[in-house]
Amino acid sequence: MLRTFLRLTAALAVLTPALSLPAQQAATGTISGKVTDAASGRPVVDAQVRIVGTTRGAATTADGSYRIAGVTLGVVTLRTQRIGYAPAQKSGTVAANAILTLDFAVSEAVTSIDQVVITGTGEAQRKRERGTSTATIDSNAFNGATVRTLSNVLQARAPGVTVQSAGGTTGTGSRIRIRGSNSISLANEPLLVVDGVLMDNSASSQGFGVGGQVVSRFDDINPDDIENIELIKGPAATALYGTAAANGVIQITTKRGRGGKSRWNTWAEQGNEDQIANFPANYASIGSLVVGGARTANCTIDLQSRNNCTANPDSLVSWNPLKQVSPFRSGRRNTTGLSVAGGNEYASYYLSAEHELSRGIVDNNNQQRVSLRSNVTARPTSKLELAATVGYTRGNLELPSNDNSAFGQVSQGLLGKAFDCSPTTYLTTPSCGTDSLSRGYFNANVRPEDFWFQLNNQTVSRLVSGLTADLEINSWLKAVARAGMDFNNRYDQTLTPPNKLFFSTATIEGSRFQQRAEVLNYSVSGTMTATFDLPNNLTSNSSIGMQYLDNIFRSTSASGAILLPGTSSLNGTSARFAVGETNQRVRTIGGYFEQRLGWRDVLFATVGIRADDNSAFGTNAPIVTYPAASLSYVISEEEWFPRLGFLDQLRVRTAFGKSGQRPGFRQAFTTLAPVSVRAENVERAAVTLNTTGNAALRPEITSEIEGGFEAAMYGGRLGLDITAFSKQTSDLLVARTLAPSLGATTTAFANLSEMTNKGIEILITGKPVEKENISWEGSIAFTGLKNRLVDLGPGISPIIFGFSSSQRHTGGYPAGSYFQRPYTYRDVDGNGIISRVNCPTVGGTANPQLAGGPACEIFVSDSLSYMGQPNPTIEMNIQQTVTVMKYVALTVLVQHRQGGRIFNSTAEFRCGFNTCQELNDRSTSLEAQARALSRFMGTVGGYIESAKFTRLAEVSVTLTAPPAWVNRLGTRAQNVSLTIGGRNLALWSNYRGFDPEVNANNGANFTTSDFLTQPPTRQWSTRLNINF
Amino acid sequence: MTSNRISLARLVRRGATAALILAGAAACSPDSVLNVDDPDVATPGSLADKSALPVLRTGAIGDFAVAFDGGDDNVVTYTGLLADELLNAETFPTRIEIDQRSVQPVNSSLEGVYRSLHRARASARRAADAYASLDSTNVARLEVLNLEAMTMIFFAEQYCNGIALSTLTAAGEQIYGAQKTGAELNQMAVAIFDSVLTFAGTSVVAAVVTQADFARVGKGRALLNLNQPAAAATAVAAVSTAYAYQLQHSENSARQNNGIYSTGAVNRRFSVTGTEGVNGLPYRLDADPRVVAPRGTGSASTGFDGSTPLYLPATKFPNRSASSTVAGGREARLIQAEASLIAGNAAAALATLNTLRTGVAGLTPLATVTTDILFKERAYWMWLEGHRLGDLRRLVRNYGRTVATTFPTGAYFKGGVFGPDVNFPIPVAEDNNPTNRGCFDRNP
Repeated sequence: MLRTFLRLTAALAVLTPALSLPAQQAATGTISGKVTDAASGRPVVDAQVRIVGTTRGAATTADGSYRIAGVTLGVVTLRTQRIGYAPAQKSGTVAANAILTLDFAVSEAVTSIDQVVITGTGEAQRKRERGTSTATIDSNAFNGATVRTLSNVLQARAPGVTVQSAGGTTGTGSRIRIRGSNSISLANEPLLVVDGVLMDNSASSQGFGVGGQVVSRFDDINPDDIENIELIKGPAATALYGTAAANGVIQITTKRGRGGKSRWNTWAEQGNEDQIANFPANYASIGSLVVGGARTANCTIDLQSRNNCTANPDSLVSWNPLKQVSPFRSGRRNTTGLSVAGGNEYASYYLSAEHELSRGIVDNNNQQRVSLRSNVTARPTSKLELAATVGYTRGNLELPSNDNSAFGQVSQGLLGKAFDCSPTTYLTTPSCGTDSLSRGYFNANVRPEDFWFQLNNQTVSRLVSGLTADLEINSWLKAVARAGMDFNNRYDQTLTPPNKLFFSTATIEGSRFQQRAEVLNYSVSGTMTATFDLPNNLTSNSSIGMQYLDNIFRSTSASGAILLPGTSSLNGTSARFAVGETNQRVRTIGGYFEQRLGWRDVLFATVGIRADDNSAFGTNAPIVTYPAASLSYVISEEEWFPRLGFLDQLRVRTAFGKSGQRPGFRQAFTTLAPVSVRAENVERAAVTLNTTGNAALRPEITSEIEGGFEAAMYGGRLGLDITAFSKQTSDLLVARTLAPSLGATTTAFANLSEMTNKGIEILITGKPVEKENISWEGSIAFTGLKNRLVDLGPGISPIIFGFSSSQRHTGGYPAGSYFQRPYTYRDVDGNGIISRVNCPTVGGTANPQLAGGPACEIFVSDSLSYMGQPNPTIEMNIQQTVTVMKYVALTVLVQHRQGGRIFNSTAEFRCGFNTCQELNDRSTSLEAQARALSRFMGTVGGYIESAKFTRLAEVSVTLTAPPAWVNRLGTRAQNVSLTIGGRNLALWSNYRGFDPEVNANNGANFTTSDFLTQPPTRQWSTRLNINF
Repeated sequence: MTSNRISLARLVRRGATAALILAGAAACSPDSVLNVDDPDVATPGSLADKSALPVLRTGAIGDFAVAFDGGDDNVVTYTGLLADELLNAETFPTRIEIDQRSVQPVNSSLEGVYRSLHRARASARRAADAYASLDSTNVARLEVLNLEAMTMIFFAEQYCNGIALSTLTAAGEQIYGAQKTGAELNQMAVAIFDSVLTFAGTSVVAAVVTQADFARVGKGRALLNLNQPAAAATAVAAVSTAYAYQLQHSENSARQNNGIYSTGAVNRRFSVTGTEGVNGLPYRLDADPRVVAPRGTGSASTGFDGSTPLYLPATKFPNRSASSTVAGGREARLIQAEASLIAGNAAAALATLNTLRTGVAGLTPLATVTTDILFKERAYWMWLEGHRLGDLRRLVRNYGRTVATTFPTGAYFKGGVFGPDVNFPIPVAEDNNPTNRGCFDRNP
């Protein structure tokens, strides 16, 4: 794959000058000029200067200058724009072999409706022309010292986007949602488009399990290569993306070359990360059995209450293996990178390389990644632009077990013993028995560190390449053709070496598994756009196009057991051989048409439609269509609009659209899987029911209406962007549970029910202080979201899932809501102890009945109650940057979330082992005792806790060397900066677990539980950046 | 803007041209483009001829084995947990519920086993129907009918009254069957066994005789459940003691593993009991060659919970490929002994039981026979073969014993006390059957 990358890059290097040759012979003119800050007169770097109505343009260099050669003769209009500045526009006439000079003085502005975004048809469009809300994250908005992954980049930076960090394992992903979840059974991850290429957006991409945490393909993208990210949030805006875009689109544009001499950028980063959770100790009460008087190390308060045992004086013992025999180390991260960008008016390039080495906080969590990128743009004629983008990532990830795994350090520690069973202490600790190795970890007679012998490894080699051709056929007709390929060669392997891990027969024997998978996404699209000026100040913009998508997954896997000592491959195995092969392919073909009418560049109306057919639809399903319409009105530019002193610009907008999501591969068809069966002493071929199909299966359809406004105020120093939206997903694809008595599969997909997501997004951007020596700018992003599952349909039972069956999809409530039996408690006898003795049985395990014993003190309802939803309803993120003396910038990002609940299954499960403090320590609160006991009475409701939190998510300080200092270095360096940044620096929450963001099922749609999960770590990094 | 001004008429002309291009593109049928292969699986249509019958038969055997004692949770281990054969040695709360006799309908582990058993039934029925229409005289038809009938016996012995036998047709139609009592299920099983016996007639072809004996033992078991011991004894009379219909297991795949071995010795989920809950038989404590269960060694010395001593049926199920018996000649003799005892002919019963014991090292002849001794003989001879739960229920239902003196009772070793369950409830997932009314009762 690396070879392919190098070949493609070399080919582009050869082709680029060749393609640009004809342009040098055409009769054309040149435009050049300078872009400066209107207030300070300083050059504005990296401003985009484009010829309106064409793809031609250039970016300004360090001195603010630009140059566009080979321009068609005649009147042209140039527009310049840069994030943080108001756009500007100028016209002039290009003469043959002459240079037209157009200089721009641009004013700072925190918001702009003239910022250009890319549409579903591939067309560059100003925001004012679109009736939908599109959030943009520019590369200036994040810093490499504080973000490591695309998930980090997206976290807390735009309203409507929720990124849930599931844990603290290096290399694992997050749950990403835009405007909530639309689907019960299909993926809710947004579509990922990079430079026009559709990329694999799997939130869970690995061939082996490690207990809960999973690898996300979102994070294969190197944040340092990102120029900007457009977040196209809902079907109102994504209709033309078709049957994949119901969950929104994350559209990433990577960095490009620009005119002028080559600009080099190099960076080096050194960071560390540490475990910060305050893990609890394991407790036990030593006592004597009432019957027989034998010693017992399990004399819990509950057992004392039922007269099973008597606690010895000072009987409470505790041991905290995760603290006292800590398995954690200080994690490290080293990153080095180099990029170069340059070009001329005929061709430009951006090349980058980055190497990252991370080691997590336990020995068997390590990651190494190399990212290469080559983006080349060629303009062989004044009417044709060819852009080739090639990104290559090679990653090697070693993952530890945790969550729902007995091999994890966290799980073993939290479920461990109250005794240090070490080689030196076990003889004096009766409760250790013969266990001299566990050190209090869960697995007796196994050294906890022996679990590190087990290898869980993933290697990916991913090549994402795209080719875009922009052709101006004539002055009114333009064509864009795109072809893209995302090819991920994934290699997953596990290895349990023999005679290393004395956990079970199987681990002693050793085993080996490997899977080699190819994930391919091909995308081809073509669009023609005709633009006309019509009478009466009308403009018309018509686009028609088609798209073909081909998603392929192929894998082969093999496994074997009983490894020959000294070997680590399948060759060394001698039993239990198994092979597997998977071939999945889903194709989509779609066509679209969009018509936009503009009036005086103030009012824009757009209608569009997309039609799709898909190989995953049922055989009886028709072609599906997705209409869209929007209206955008820059009302403040109307002459009749009152001139308000504080208001610079006001745009109102509304949009409606539909988008869809296809069924998964094979969901529409009944199939039988081949299996092997032993009969008559030989292995024989056999079949077993594999899927139960539904010939009428259609895509889910999500329709959305949104409306809002954007206002720029106080000379561009304050921006306000408010959007309200209402989404409705119909024909919800539900993995409907089949009655077991049918003898079929567990589920079959059916189009049922509806789900709604309604919400409001508010983005306030401002620059309240702008002085010579100090400036302060920032943003506040607020999201309110209400999710409801309307109804599952007649005769369909709630879909129950989650740890302890605590969650369900049921009509009238948010999807994935928690339902449990509530309970109350009262210390009836006033002894400071809550007892369940003599309580009636309600749903769960029968309670002990003891004649003459204490009265029941916990009262469990016999019916279930709604206990909240797993996703937040309110999210607010505040990012502020203060720059002092122009050379010191402090950035703070604070994240707040509320409205969601989380099942603290870690605490609940620990009590099931009788080792939690509240079952042993009489000094714990009555409330804590009651919730621990109630888990034995058929409810875990006491552990469904508020997930509300406020987090100091990021802090960074960037020191930029003054130019004079840089010059004194005597190098070619133009800019030197040093950033010290930290992530996850403080957390304020009433959650009684370790972190309310953790999730032992981050790859799942709704299952949310803290279950022996490694909580997020605290990270610090120092990054040196040099431009020359 | 830099675009041209044009007339409306010109715009219409250009629009029409674009529309024609679009129409041309649409004329290309997308069907060929969207046609994708799926080489990994078979479709029902591809298995619709006579050549596919053998894989349907082996499929039915495989699905039955998965349900009975296949790679993961299964009928044998779950009935063993609910009865007195096994105790829980791990942390999974849903399986602890079963051992503690407090099984909730939401128990997802139980749902898995319940589904497996229905899948085995449906798979056998699919195969039987296919043989009936494509090769009705094939002896394999008898085998899959026997398997189908055995699943009905299991439902009757292990679950509450109210089991529905529904059907998913080849066309995808869901037909929900009426809920049946245990007695009705046993009667349905008898009817199927009778049809097998009718088909077998007096054939002496070995394969036919094998299936006829399977049907005879199955019929005897069902009749015993229906409290018709004399008829049961008559049904099994022709079966030789050496006969056994066994499921073969394999190390080849997890699905084919003997689940009693893999969930016990490998996953360490259960341990063999010794007088569980006061009433339980001593099993591992008895020096009886039929129930040998030494403590595991090394990592297998304790259960997955890290504390429960692990005693494993290492002699009967020594590895993943150990075979297991579904029906056999010993069972036939035990049925006859029980019938004799009930009929008041204790001597005949004793003689039958002692004949079985003859020649087995470590077993001496019984001096007497009582109901308790008879049921202990049944429990030990057919240990971990899915009989014990049904036997405990029969003791209550047919012999007038109380639940409190028959099932494990009193304090549960992992905390709490044993619950009241004598059978499994219908899992909540069955509520997706709109006609389901849940258990009629939870009676023995």
